[in-house]
Amino acid sequence: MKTRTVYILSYSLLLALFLTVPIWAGSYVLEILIIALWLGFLGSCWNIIGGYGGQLSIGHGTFVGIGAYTSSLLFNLYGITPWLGSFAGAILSAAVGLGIGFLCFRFKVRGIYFALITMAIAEIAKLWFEHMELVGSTGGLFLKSVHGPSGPAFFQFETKWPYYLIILGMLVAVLLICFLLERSKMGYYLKAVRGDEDAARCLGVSAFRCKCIAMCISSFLIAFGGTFYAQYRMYIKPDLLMGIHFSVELVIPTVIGGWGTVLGPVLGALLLIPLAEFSRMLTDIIRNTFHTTGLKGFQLIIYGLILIVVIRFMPLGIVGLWSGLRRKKASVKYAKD
Amino acid sequence: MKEISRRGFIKLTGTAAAGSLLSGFPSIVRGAEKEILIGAVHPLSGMVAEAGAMAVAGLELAVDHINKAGGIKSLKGAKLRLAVEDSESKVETGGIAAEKLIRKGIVCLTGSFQNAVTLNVARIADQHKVVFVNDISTLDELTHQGFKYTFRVGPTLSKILDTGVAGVIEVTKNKPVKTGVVIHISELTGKIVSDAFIKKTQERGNPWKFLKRIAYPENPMSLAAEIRDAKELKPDALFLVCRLRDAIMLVEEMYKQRFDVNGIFGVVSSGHADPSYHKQGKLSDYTFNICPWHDEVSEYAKKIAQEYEARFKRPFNMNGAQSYDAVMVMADALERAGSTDKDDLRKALMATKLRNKTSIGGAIEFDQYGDNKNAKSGLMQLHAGKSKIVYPPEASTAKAIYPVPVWDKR
Amino acid sequence: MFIAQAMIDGLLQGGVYALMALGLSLVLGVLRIINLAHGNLVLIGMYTSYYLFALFGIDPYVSMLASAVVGFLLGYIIQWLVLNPITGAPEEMAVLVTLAIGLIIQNLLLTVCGTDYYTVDTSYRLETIMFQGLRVDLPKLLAFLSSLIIVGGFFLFMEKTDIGRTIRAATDNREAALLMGVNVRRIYCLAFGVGTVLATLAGSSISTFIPTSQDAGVLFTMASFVIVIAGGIGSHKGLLLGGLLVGVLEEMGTLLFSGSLKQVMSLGLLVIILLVRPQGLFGKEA
Repeated sequence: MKTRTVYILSYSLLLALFLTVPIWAGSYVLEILIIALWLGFLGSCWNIIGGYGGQLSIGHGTFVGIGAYTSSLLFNLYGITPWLGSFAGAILSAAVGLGIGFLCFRFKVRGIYFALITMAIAEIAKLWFEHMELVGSTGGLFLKSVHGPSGPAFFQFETKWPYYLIILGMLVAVLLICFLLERSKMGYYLKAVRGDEDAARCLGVSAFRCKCIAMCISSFLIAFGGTFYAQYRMYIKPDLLMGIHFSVELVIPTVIGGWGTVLGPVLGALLLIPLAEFSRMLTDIIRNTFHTTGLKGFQLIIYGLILIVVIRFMPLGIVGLWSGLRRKKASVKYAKD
Repeated sequence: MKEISRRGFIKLTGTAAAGSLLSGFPSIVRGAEKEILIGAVHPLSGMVAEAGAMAVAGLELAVDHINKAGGIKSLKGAKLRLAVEDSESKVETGGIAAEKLIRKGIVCLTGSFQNAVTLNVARIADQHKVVFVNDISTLDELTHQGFKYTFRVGPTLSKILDTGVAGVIEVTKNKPVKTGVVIHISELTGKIVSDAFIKKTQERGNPWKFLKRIAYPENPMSLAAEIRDAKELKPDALFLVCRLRDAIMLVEEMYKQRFDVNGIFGVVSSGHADPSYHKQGKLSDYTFNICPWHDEVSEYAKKIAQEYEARFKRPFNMNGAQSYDAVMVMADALERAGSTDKDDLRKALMATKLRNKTSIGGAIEFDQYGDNKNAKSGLMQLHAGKSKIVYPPEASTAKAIYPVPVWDKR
Repeated sequence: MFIAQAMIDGLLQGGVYALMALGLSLVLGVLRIINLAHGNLVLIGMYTSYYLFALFGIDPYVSMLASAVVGFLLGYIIQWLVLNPITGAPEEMAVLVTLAIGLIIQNLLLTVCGTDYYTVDTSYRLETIMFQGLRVDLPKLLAFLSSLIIVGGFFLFMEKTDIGRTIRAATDNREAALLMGVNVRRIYCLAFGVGTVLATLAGSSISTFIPTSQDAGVLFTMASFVIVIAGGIGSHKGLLLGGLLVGVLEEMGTLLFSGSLKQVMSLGLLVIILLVRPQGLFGKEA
């Protein structure tokens, strides 16, 4: 159909635009974009269980950490290239995710309780990693540098743009997965469960199975984001990726952008990172105007205010309402006073 | 409706993103011009905001001094200008900040306090071949990552502990420590420092026995249990690795429980080096700390310390000292190189032999890894709220008081 | 002897925990909001008491009144301006908003009050009482007693007053409350206001034995969440017991484990509680 061609065309153009970035953008812009795309990737993976599945997980940092550490340890200790090691990390991560999902959903843990459990588990995992001899004894894990031509074979590059292209590719892949998921049977089941779990179960949907599968896929994919980070920074520490703090961080872009949608996480990430930079620039301007070097942390106040305003006026995310899907709470309308 | 809003938003976001990224401050043309831009990435918000502020103050003072003395003479009196960015104590933000500064055209970079942030900043600087003179981070591995443009002014953890253990043995020689208990924050840094400290003492032939290693969780609401635990063991000395909050709570708790030891030794403990800890009066007096410190003996350093404290109304300690020295090192290299070319600068830095400095230790000279060969730490003790260096002898400003007075007699 | 001492310290600590977590539990129960800014609200209480002490010499237990007023106004305004408008939106949004609020509060404190660590140096700050050979920490004892009084007062408020009963009704069954003609928006504001008051009161009392600094928000938020999970969401009596339990377990914990292992154990326990009995040890059915 014509609309569909327009759709495909415009997305392809956009993709082409993004592909050309390394040619015209400087290192500063690339750095920001890499971080934004990476967060968009993480958010999109989280979206599968958080957005589509409707289960608010504040513990996905656990899986990012598992992914990062698995591929990095396999590389450091056994010389296995992270290209392959990342899959090992993803599988391990999926297993853990499945385990958590199994326990939680079997015990019918929902809503805030699920959020609280994932928070507790995230902290436990972080503490555990911090005490693992393998991991913590040298102040974090340093990845061994591979210089020269064999670098790329081990997911190491001397310049930024290969990393940019890789994360772009990873992001597009996840977006495609979400797109397909949305339109698959599983996608419809998830939507039903998210809307009203009990009603869905009455209609014969195995909520338990759906949620577990979503959890599995989500944790599998997000682990690759961990490997990417490890390869990009060449240094990982448990508290950088695991624990509650980062788990909350990676949820923010998705929620702002519109969870439960394909593009929500990306839009959110692309908005938030420049937003943070904008806050810093604004703070600098204010400081210069008033000739002061004080106002420490002011950029975070601006950032927080903007965040609140954005949420206030776009409570369902940038992508806007999606019709026909209301949470049980929201279905209770009350007269405005 | 949905399609338009999606596409529209993509365009909107894209343009907004691009717009805000491509705008910004104009780059300063590098080379033999009037100004040489020096960049710094430091944590100015978050937990260690005060330390970051102290470091930046040191940078500002140093830049002022260089400029007042006529700038870089071999570059036609070019003046130094400082550009500071807040790392917000985060790896990502620090990296973006470094990129931003490099884009502005900095000739050299310094920073960044936390190890993880510093590593990232150093990596980025190295990618751009911008010289990075680290002031404060103690992570040994920083200079062993294959970075060619990274230099470190301060001592590494191993060097610090070398001096530290020797210092403890020396100041306690009249009543040697036979038993010790280590209390440390169970966060990664606390673990590593404790590990390294215990190893160093083993290397020195085990002058004392460690009775127990007590780790307390980050951000505790109470340390009563840990102190009770330690008190039961009746050690000669306590070795602590803590943050400021914990350091204060520990001594308060020790006082409340009347837990007396012959000496409390902070081991590269940021909490015990913090001026807020020094203000705890009789509670914090006589606490020792093994850490890099500023020179309190040389006239050169004393003058700078005075000016710093008068101007910035904060105490001059290693944060200010090492960042001051970092700028001096950079200026000295610029002077000798006579150019702002990256490799010229690097060569000049490798040949550094700077005698005038504000931190303890010999002349600043870099080894093949970029570490300062002669960097030293010291053992300091609090006397009436003021920190005094009690070891090594050439840097000391007071005699150590050991064993320390019991709580009831203070 | 050692155990008895640990018990005493644990109970005292627990009472403080209970007060600190009560506000969070109220907000979680009534408004279903995971308030990540809770710890920063406690911090506001601490700073209020600190400044009133440092500038006018007013003891924190007296300036609690001011803390309460500040807390109530702040909480009411936050709910009214920021949280009420997004009540229909999914919970994730509210969580993010509280995160943003916490960020703003912390950095406002940083900008205005600086990075110093402040101690409220009351005359009894370092005092202890000996009781039958056991050492009782005086500031903690006072905090414990005030905690009991405030928590007790809160129970009465919820049971006996109209507002209290309405809040409980709205917690139990939002739809029914609406049907009964309750002005739910106003109730939410009152509830958040009361929750914040509890937080700031807790802050005032702990300022007497814990250093005040702008970065402490996270610490209190984490600690409060642990208590809420253990004691149960929505059950206030359960929370009190939960707080005492956690306090005692933490003190006893060092007898068995040290440091992070202790943390892992307590977190693990929480996970089990959430799985098996999500309403906490004493809560009602969720």
